[in-house]
Amino acid sequence: MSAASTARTLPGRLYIYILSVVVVIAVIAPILPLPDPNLQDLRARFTPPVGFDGTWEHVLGTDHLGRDMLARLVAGTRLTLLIAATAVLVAGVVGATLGVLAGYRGGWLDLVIGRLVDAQLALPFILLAIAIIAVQGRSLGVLVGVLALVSWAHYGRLLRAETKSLRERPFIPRLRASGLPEWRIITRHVLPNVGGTILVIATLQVGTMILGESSLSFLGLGVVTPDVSWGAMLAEGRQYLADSWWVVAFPGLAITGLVLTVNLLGDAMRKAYDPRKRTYR
Amino acid sequence: MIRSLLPRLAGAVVTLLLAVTIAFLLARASGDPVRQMLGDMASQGQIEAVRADLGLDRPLVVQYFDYLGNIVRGDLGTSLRYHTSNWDLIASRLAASFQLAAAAIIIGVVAGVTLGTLAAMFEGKRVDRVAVSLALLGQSVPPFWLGIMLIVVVAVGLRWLPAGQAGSWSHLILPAITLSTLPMARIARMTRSSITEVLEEPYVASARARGFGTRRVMARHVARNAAIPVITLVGLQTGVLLSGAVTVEFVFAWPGLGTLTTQAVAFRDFTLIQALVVFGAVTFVLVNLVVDIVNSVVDPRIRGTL
Repeated sequence: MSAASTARTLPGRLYIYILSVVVVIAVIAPILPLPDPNLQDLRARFTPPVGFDGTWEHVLGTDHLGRDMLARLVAGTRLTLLIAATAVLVAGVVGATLGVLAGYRGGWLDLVIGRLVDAQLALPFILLAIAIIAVQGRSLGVLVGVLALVSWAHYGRLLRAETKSLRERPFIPRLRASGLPEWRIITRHVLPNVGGTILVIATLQVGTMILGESSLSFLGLGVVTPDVSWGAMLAEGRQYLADSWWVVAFPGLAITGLVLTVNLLGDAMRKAYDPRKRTYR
Repeated sequence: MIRSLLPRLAGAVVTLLLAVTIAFLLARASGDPVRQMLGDMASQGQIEAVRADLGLDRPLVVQYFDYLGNIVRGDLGTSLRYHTSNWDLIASRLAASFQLAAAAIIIGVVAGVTLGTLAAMFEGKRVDRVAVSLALLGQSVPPFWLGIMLIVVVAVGLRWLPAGQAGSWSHLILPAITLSTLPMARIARMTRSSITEVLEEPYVASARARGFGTRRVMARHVARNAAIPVITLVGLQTGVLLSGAVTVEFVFAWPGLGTLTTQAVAFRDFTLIQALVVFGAVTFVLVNLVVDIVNSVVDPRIRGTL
C-alpha cells in the first residue's frame, strides 16, 4: 500500500488532520492574538484557568511570573516540533543511508555498521545525552544532535535487515545483470521498497524525540529561558505545583496528546504497510 | 551449551568495547569539559592547571588507552566532587536503583502480560481495543510528568502515600508504578502480537481439534512459543530501567543511580558522569547476554544458533 492509501483510511486520516492543526498553530504562533509568552505580570501570578475561578483573560491561567499559560503552550509548540522534526530528519537520513548500505553491500561494511548499531543501542539514552551536554554545554544544536545520535541506530537496525531480505529477491540480481549501476538500483529500486519502513520508523521516532526533548529540558539540559518548550515549562512549574496544578498539568497533557497522536498515526501506517500481525508492535 | 555461548560472549565484548569508545569519543574528544566545569570566569591558567590535573593535556590516544585500561581493571576513576572512587559511589546507590527497577519490572510484566494476553484472546473485540489503547497511552505519557501528577493527586491531595525518598515499602509504590508504565506498555504490545501470531499456527488449531480446552492450549502450546520475544523485551527493559530511571528518580528524590546522575550533572562532575555511562552500557550488555541464555533454556531450538 502507498502513503496515499494510508491517508484515505479513516483513523490514519484523523491523526493527520490533528497533527496538521498542531503544525499550523506552531507556524502561525507569532501572529495569533495572544500575549507575549515571556510577558510577566506579577500581580496576576498563579491565576487559575477558566472554570477554576479563572477569567477569560488567561484561559489556561498564568504561571509563577504571571505569564499566560496558553501563550506559552503555543510558543512551546514551535520549538518542541522544530526540535523533534530536525532530529528525526537528521537521524532518518543518516540511519537509513547506513542501514541500506550495510544491507545492500554486505561484507565488512555490513559487519562494521551492524556492530556500531548494536553498540549505539547499548548506550543508555539519557546518560549518553547527559554526558555529551555536560561537555558541550546547552544549545539547540547540541540538543538536536544528541537526539539524532540516539535515534539513528533504530533506522539502521531495521533497514539493514529489510534491505538484506530485499536483496535476496530475484529482481535485484536481474537488474544488476542488466547493467544498471549500483547507485541507481539503490535509489530507484531499493529505497522505494523500504520507504514505507522508513516512514513508519520516522513517525514513531517523532514521539520518542518529543519525549526525549522533554526529559532533557525537564532535567535542565535542554531548552532554557527565554526559549519555551513543553519540557522546559514542566521543569519550571514543578516547584510550584503545590499551589497551582495547572502549571504542570497543561504542558504534560500537551506532550501526552501530541505523542499519542503521532504514535496512533505510526500504528495506523504500520498496519497499512505490513499486512502481517507484527504490525501492532 | 558453553561452547555455543562463546561467539555470543565475544560479540558482547566487541559491542561493549565499541560502546565505551563511542562514549569516550563523544564525551571527551568532542569538547572541553574543563571549560564547562569552571565556567566563563576561569582564567586560562586555571583551565590549564585543571586540564593537567585531570590528564586532559595528554594526547587523545594516550587518554583513550588509559581509559580503556582502567575500565578493564574495573577502575571507573575518581569523582571530581566527592573525591572518592566512582565505583564506590555507584555501588552505594545500586541497591536503591535495583529495588526500584525490580518493583517496576514486576509490575510491568504482570500488568503487561495480562493486558497483552487478554487483548490477543479477544482480538478485535472491545477488550482488545481497550488494552491496545492503554498500552499506547503508556507509551505516550512522559513518565516524569505522570510521577508529578501522581504526587499531586495521591500524595499531596489524598495523602494516601508518601511523595518521595526511600523508606518503608509505601515509599516504593508511586515511583515503581510511574517507572513501570513504559515497560508495561511495550510488554503488553509484544505479548499481544506474539500470542496472536502463535494462535494462527497450525499446531494450535490441531490441539484445539483434538479437544483440548482453551486453558490447556494457552498454557501448554501458546505460552511457551509466545514467550521468547517477550522474555527478550523484558531483558531489554530491565537494562534500560537500571540506568534510565533518571527523571523518575529525580521527581521522587529516590536515592538511586538516577539521582546520582542528576547530582553529577549539577556539580559538573564529569568523571562520575562518564563512569555512569560505562556502567550503564556494561549492565545493558550483561543483561542481554543473560536474556540470550534464558531464551536458550526456554527454547532448545535457539541453542544451535547462539
